[in-house]
Amino acid sequence: MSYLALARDVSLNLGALARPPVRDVLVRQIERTGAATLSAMVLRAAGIGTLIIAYTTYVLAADAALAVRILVWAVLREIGPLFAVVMLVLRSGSAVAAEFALMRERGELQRLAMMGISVRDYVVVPTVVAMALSNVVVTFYFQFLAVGGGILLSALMMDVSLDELTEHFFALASLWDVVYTLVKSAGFGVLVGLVVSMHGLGLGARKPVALPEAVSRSVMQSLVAVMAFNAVFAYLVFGVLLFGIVRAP
Amino acid sequence: MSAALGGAVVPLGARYRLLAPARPYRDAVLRYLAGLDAEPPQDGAAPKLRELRQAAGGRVAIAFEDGGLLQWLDAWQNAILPADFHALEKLRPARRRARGIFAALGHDPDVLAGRPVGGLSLLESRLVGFVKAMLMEADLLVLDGLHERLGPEEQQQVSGWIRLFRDRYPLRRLLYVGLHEEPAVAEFDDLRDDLRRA
Repeated sequence: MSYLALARDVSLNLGALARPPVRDVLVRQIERTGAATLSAMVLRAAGIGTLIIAYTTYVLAADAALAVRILVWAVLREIGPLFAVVMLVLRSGSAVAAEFALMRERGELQRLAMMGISVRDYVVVPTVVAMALSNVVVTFYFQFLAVGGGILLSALMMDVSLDELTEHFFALASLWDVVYTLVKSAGFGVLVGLVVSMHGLGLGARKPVALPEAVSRSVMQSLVAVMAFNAVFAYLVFGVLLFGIVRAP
Repeated sequence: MSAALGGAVVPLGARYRLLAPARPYRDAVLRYLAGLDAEPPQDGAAPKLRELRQAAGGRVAIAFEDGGLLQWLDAWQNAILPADFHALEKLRPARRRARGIFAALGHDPDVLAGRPVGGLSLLESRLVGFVKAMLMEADLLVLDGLHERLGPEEQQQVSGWIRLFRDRYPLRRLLYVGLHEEPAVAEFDDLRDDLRRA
């Protein structure tokens, strides 16, 4: 089975979420992926916001307006979604892939099939949806902490008021940034969900790989898929690829 | 009453036992009856297995020898999973039926709620798996070596479960697939003898 076929199957079978046991799995996966990532996020997010402000202020000798502008561009549009999905892959994606590989090795997937329960409907669909929802929440949470922490620190370190920084922020940020983040982070989450399901459950392999290799492949291919999606998404939205080397006609 | 399909006759309420030469053979039989494989293992029992699957019309439930339980669910959630999955009713009626079956088998269902399956004994795992299979309301219940690796008292308990099933659903068919001859199912018709008679 290819990624495209799996993505198509998942999108055509979202109705499986109406089944109570599938919803239970969805809630469970959201708890495991979202909550686990959120708890690890606070210090890292605030640290990144602070780092960006400190760098622009001291190294680039930027004023408050430029510092906030860089914060908005970097954190809201690029670093936020990327950092959140990397955390999701490393903390939750690897754990989910390992759990799926164990289920496969214990014969649980075959037992599910023998009970007439589709692995795709019961395991893959809620996992992909949970990863997408969790990643959206984690991304917004990261952005809130990074931007909030960065602005707060700037007010403390620089000769500029919190009101002025906040005003700059709301002048620069727009609803478009929210939509951009929403679509991009949901796309990242779907990709990670598909990749960990494919490798963890051994859906694509003629001969399923052992647990350590399933985890390793899940993490590496998730990161590659996310980077590729990020590049294509940036090209489609901004017409720029590979830091401006390729530009849309 | 009997079900006649393509000239084959599998009486309602029939009870069969099939001695499997090895675990892979037994797995192949289970996979075939569950509808995962197109053909049964090719030996003398194959025609009868085909008849059984046809007669059940896809309504087959298996009580696995290890319960066939998922580690990420607790014992109670495992028991109601297939019935709950296949029923779309919001009130989840499988829960009420499962409580009734556990009570009839002399077990308190509340004890199972929140209990991880890793902490269950072999007999308890089989009990959960048996209730799970009973809840599926299948026309053919396959018993996957339920008496194996148990002491005499525990085997008695398992025989009690099977009696309860037969009392509740006298018209449903039973197939015991085991690796050893089990005295507890000696009164079941041997699938291969049945074939020879036919």
